[in-house]
Order: sequence, then C-alpha cells, then structure tokens
Amino acid sequence: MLDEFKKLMKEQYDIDNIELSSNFKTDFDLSSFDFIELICLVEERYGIEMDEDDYKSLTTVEDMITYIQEKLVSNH
Amino acid sequence: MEVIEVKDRGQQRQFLDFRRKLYKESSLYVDNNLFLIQELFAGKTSFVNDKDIYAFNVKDSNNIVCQGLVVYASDLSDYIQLCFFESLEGQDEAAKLLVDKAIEIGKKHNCKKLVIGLNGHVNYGLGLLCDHYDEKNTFSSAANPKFYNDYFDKMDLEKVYLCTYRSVTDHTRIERYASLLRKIKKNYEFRSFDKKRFDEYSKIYTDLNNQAFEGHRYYYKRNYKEDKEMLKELFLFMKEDSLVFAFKDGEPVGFVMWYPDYNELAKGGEVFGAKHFFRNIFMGRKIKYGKLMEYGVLPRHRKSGLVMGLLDQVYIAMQGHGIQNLVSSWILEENADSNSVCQALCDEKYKRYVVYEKEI
Repeated sequence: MLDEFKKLMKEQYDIDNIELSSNFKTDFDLSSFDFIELICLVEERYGIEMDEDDYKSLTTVEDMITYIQEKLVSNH
Repeated sequence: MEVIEVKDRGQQRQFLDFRRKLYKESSLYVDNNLFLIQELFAGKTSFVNDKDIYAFNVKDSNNIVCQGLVVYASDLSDYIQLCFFESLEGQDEAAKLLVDKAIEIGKKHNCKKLVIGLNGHVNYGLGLLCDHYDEKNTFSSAANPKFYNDYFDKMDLEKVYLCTYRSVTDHTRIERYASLLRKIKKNYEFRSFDKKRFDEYSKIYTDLNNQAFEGHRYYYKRNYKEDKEMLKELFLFMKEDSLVFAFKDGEPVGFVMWYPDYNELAKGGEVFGAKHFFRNIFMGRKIKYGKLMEYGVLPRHRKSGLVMGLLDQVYIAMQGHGIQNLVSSWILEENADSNSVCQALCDEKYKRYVVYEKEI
C-alpha cells in the first residue's frame, strides 16, 4: 500500500522521498485545498468514503494509509 | 478652519460638488460612490434606518478642503465610522479636525473605537488604498492618493490590512482539483440567481451572508430590505450568473458573487453611471477582468472544499462572457482561509488596503 500511495503522490504532486512519517503539511507543504484534493483522489482510487471529521487526524502518510486500510476492511 | 455639518440641500450640493471636482481633476479614479452618498442624503435607501449619519465639510476661508461622513450603526455599536473621506493635498490639520469630530460623535454614542475606511457596512467598501496609487480602481473598490494615508499615519492609529489578488483565468489552476470538483458536483447543486423569484433569492442571499460572515471583523447583520435594494441596483447591469448559490439537499449552504469590472468602461475622473454600461452593450467594448466580490459558505460545510466548487462556477460564467482575467475584492490579511483560497487559484497578490482604528 505504501508503494501505491507513493505512486499516487508522485503522479499528483510530483513528490519523491515519501516516508511513513512524512507530514503532509510540514514535509510536502500541501495547502488545505491540496489536501482535500488528495482526499478526493484517495476516495476515487480506493472506492472508499472518508468522513470530514477524520481529516484533521490524517497528518502523516502513515495516518492516511492506516485509515485507508481500516476503511477497506470495514467496506468488506 | 472649521468643521461644518451638512444640514441642508445647499450644503449637500457643496459636499457632492467638491467630490466631483476632486475626482475630475485627479483623472485617476472612477467614482463608484457618488450615487450612494446622494441616496444617503436623500434618505432614499433603507440603509439609513437604525443609523445616525452625519456629513461634514471642513472649510478653510470658506473653501472646502476636506470632507467625510460619520456613521453610527446600532448593530456595530462599538465603532464610530469615518467614511467616504476625501481631501485636498496638504490638509493635515483639516483631516485631524474631521477625525476629532468623528471621535466626539463616537463618545456621545458610547463607542469604544473609531474606524476609518469602513463605508457604513463592509458591503459598501472597506479600506483605503495603500499601494498601486497610479492605477484605476476596480469597480466598487477604494481609490485614494497616498497623502490620505500620510494624514492618518501621523495620527497614531492602529492599522488593519487587507489584500487582493489577481490572475489569468486559464482554468488549469482549478482543474488541478478535478477530483474535488467531481465530488462537489455530486454532493451539491449550483443555481444562479433567478430574477423571476427576486424576493426569494434575495432573502437567500441575506440569510447566507448573515450566517457565513458572523464574527467577521466589521460585519454586522443586514436585513432583507437593504439587500434587496442593493441587489436591485446591481442587477441593473449584472447578469444572473453573477450570483450563484450552492444547495445541499435543497437547502442553500453557500454563495459566490462576481461581476465584470465595469470600471474598465469608464475613464479616470468620471462618475460611474448608466452611460458606461451602455458602452459595453452598444459599443461592444470588452471587459478584461472579472471581479470576485464575495463568497460565503455555512460553517458546517466549510471542510468540504465547497468553495472550490463555487469558484469553478465563477470561472465557467466568466468564460461564458469572454472574460479572461480575475481580480479579487479585499480579503483581510488575518483571514488565513480566504487567503489560502486565493493563493491556490491566483497568480499574484495585487493591491493592498488599510483600515485605521483608534480606541476612544
């Protein structure tokens, strides 16, 4: 999943050097709109729906991947 | 030198003539406010209800050298406002006298602060220009020479800054948010203002404004009558797609207003009026910039990215009118959210404005 997510970030934002601990704001300098766009991309790519109330807790790549995995499990 | 309150028609005429002459002789700026001041004098607008409005000319040897309106609005009772300030150059003393008069009136109303640059309500203008002085103003935006700021800079006043942005609307900036826009279009419905349902849509506008801007610096609630009047005037030349609403499950949750920068049809020194609008219709004069006036989203919908959907509607409408470029209205520099929207979509920061405040 990390490799897949890295590919998505590279395609959308041309960002390399992505680690699990990478912070979307401080390491990638994503604006709030870039972040919401990323959420929408993730939703489309993985066929999940993400709750707006959860956005704030998704600060790192690890947070995001864990969240996606949990959503995929709960969808099944 | 004396501060004379404008009390009769003759003095009102002098007030307006001074303003006309000032604009004509400078030939820089378009006057978008003369008609509003005329309406205030005539009491022809419901805006004058619940407000105490005083107009003053400052005279030196019987010649007007400086002027302004002082407004007390009971719904913004902490502030006494000095609005529509205009002056000849080299009139520091006159400007100080006018400010002192505003403070005197403010104390009578138990106001806590004087504010200079708020024109009665944020809908009628906020801020004095503090850069790009040699450029014509966009429609309804502040226009003043540098020496106005020089007067107030010497008076030990606090400053609140505002900024604007501008951009070429090639649409690729917003297309970067394609996934977000798809989601927004799935979850929200967008509708333009419907003139056939004027009252209904005007009320939607007022309600959304009042909810979206609650707590915004200097904002106070508008009533239906005031906004209906304002929209009636705007829709004399605005098209319906200049005001777009977002609905969720049939409920209005956001709006955006833009219009072509009509000041491009006028020359510096002119008072904007119907003749300029006819230049657009009958002479086919093209307008290059669209002005993003305001947008608002109800608090519970703000994390959704809806504002991007609203701005997409603006881009679509602008392109439909053949307008290529965008300039924004003022944004308080302290408003991080709105600034981040414009930073995402616009090429550059543009003009800067300032509001002066003083505790009294």
